[in-house]
Amino acid sequence: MFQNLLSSSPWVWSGLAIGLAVLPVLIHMINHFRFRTVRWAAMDFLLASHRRNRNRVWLKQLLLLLSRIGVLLLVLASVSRIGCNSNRWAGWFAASPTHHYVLVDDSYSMSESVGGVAPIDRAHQVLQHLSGQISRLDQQRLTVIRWSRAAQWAETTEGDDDSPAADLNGVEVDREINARVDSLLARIQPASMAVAPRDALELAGQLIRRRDGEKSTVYVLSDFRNRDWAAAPDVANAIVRLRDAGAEVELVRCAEQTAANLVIKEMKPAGSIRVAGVPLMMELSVQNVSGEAVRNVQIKASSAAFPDPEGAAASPDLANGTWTGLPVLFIESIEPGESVTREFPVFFSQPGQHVVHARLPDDAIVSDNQVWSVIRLGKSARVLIVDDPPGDDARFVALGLNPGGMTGIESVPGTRAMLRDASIGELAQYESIFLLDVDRLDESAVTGLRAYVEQGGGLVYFTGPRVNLEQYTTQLYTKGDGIFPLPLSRVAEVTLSTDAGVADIVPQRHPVFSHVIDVTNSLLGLVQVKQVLQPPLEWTAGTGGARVLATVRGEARTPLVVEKSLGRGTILAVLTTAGPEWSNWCRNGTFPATILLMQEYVSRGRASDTRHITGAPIFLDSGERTFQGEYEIVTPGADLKDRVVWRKTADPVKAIATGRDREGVSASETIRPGIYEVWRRELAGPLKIDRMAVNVDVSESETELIDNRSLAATAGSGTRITSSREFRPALERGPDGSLARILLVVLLVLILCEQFLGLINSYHPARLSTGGTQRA
Amino acid sequence: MPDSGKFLHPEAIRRISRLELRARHIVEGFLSGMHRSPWFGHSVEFLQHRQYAPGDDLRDVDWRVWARQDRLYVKQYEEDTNLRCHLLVDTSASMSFGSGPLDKFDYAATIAATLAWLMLRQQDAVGAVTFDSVVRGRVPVRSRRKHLATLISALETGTSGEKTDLFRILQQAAATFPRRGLTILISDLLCDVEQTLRGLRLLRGRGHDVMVFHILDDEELDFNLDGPTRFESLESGGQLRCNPRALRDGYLHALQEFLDQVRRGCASHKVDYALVRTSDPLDAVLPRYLSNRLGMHHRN
Repeated sequence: MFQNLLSSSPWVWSGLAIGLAVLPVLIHMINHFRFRTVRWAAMDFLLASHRRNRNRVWLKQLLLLLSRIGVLLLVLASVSRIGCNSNRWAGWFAASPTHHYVLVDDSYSMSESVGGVAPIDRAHQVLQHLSGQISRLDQQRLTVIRWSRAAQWAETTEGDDDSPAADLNGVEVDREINARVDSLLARIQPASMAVAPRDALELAGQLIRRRDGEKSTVYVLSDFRNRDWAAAPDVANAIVRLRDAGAEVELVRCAEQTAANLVIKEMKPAGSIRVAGVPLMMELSVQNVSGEAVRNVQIKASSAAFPDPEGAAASPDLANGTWTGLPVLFIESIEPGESVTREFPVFFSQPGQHVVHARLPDDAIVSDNQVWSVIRLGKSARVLIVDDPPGDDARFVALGLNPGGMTGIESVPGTRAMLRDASIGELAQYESIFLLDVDRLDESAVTGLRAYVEQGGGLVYFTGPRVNLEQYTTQLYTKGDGIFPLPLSRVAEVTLSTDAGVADIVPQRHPVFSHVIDVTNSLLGLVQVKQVLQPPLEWTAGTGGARVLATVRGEARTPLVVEKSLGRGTILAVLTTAGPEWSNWCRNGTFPATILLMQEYVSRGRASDTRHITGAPIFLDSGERTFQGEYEIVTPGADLKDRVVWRKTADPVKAIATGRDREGVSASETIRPGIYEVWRRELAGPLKIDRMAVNVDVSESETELIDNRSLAATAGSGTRITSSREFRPALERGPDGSLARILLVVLLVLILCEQFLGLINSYHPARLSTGGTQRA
Repeated sequence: MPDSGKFLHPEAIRRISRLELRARHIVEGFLSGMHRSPWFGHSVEFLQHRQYAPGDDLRDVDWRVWARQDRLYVKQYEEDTNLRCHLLVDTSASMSFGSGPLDKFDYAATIAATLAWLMLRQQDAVGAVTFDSVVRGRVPVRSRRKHLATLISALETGTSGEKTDLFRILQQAAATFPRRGLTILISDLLCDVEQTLRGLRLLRGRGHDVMVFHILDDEELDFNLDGPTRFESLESGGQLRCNPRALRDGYLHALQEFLDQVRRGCASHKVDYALVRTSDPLDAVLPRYLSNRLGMHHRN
């Protein structure tokens, strides 16, 4: 009560202090006028004594008065615990208060249930035990930090504002602390996130360094998995910095063993051709991350069609997918540590951003048992084919891309001038771009194509006699840094093979040639290549990141198909013609399949941006379009089909300051796996919907526990490692050093001084006093 | 009727009766068989006339002188008791202080009455003078038993509320006491010490045997008062507000200096000195003092 009384207002404190300081003076003045009268005979001796002792008596009375004022002020300070909130006071008058920092791992691996008990339950018990212990002591403070909140603080904080990151931040321990901790435990539950300990340790270190004059102990409550603690230099450095700040570190192991656990590592489209009305194969990978085999695994899959809305009335409140159950996938057995991949088809008849969901049966960790994927399907997949001037090459490639009109790929013819004038936004609408024997490219075209590829676009070159070797080498190759994978030096003739069993094209094991690898009597053996462009003799594969996917028959192993990655995109260069001029490949049955696989392979980067994990913000790329300030986001609800709609306003100031488009979903909003949507409207009016699948980080599912020796190697020799069962906090009762005790001792000393001064100043009854009387 | 029992404690008298009061020096006469006297003779010899004073026996009035001069004179004879004792009892205002059952004046009067009773029982002559700054009462020296009532009546007058001027009184005593004898001064001596000693020396110079009973109250000697107190002087009218405990050491020091000065002065003038507390029982004080006098006499 008094604690709050004094901390509420300095005026209250000042008033009480002044009142108590004045009180002895008033009492002294009252006593000064409340005397008895004695008629005395031996007055001369009394006056002589008074003359001799006048100054000394005055001094004693002054000291008595001051001691009484001091006693009252100390009593006030003692009962009100004044100074306990002030580190400076504590530093002056007493030993440092003890501050307990509890860092609770709330990553989803803490939910691994073994025997009905999860590590998070043990963490709760440790926290309750600690609060119970420190609640009996003086000068204790408690800070509780969840790892997930520390990670969000590290991701989003701008400045030193760390107060929101802690659930309890420097709370003075009092009688209510146990109730506060109990209520806090309801919030400390495993999040659907993979969180490393570094951010929590760094946050604790920052708090400790900011609060001087405290004795700090950091308790790390975690399951201590190998992935986080084995050979983790950043974690080791964070612990070293904690110890350098004067903190003691204690690692409390809350997990003792692991249980069988399966995790869906990935679910993605098997191909990159995503067109409405064309069946799409989904690839689902399940891994057994436990130490025992799991058999008879049934995976339930479902899909939801979200056709693109039409009309201005579209609203996230109304939009909802049509869910369809898919056939159950069955896996007979998954050995420990192994992954099994299953493919299953999905079909969406209309363009849109559709959703596929798969779920494993519940096991030790539930959070990693389901996965979402968003499939963006268009009316068709547009591929730009530049063959300038138009010739047979374009015809054969277009035919290969959409044989029989079944693939949904729309070939768009282009020219050099179109490339020169096209913006990045215009190029981005194409899944891939084929350049067929283009002699040279303008500088603006090179710049545009480079940006296109870096953003995930696919670029496929077919060369031929029109190619300007010098321009390709100097402006496109640019010493390995350009948009062409290799330099070119000359046109080489390929000698006619005398051995009918040897093909002119020798493919490597690669997805582009997956249809002809390990195939007996492949039609590829019938392909004849007459001429190719050759790199200089000194060029070797690997220069500039180039990789040879196929060579021309012969000892020279002249490269025929060369790959290079640039940014998120991929570049393929075929060093012969697409048409029949230098090769008859275009008339071979393997050509359409190879072209399709090339298109699929190089365009896969365009779909790679759809992967998001929980706890990470989602930033949207506005491109060249300008959107209205207000936008809406849809986050997943508790159930699969639940949707929660939020309306937000973009912060253009912040966007300029950070140099990034901050529109999107913040880290604190992606705490739940599922489907997230952002509904924006351009200033011109068109609606843009971005639908994204957010899944848990499956690395958290690697539940192998680190042994104590390895953990000690990471944490350092000065770190205590205990089990949650054996957790006994090394608490110092510290009665001698606490401010309250010191105040009490000083108070007692001052009271004794006051009594002594009162005695010698005749304020106490004398032992032999008989009391004077006076007779008239 | 004076209450003589108030001053004559039976127990004190009983103890004193076993002791014998012996003068340390040869005085003018002794009770027969008990005291040596420098004067031989009998009480029939006329000595002088003296103006009548209250308490004088009317039988001693010389009616013939009254008839001739219309003034009362008493006839004084050379007495045969031969120990003439003058009791000088201080009745100043300071003697009214007391913290016990008896204030200093009561105690002094009791001592005086007891001694008078003892003297008269031995047929010695006893007179008394009460004084402050002046003589307030005078009882002539007589040896008759009935004289005791007169003495007690004079002692019951109480204190006067005036200052003490001992030198003046002792000077008068030295001038008026006609014959050498025993002079017993009973006072708190709270006045100028030098003047007091000067007066005692004067008495001693006239051949008087002088005894001093220095009466002080326990509070005056111990000064155990405490608590905020305003002291008002009984004689000078001054006052002091203080905490007595704080001044106790200084007070006791000054008091001790005073007592030492008095004690040394009395010793130097061969004046018997006894410091008496008002809490001391009379039946213990007087025998001790008289025993001491006896011892001194034997040593002489």
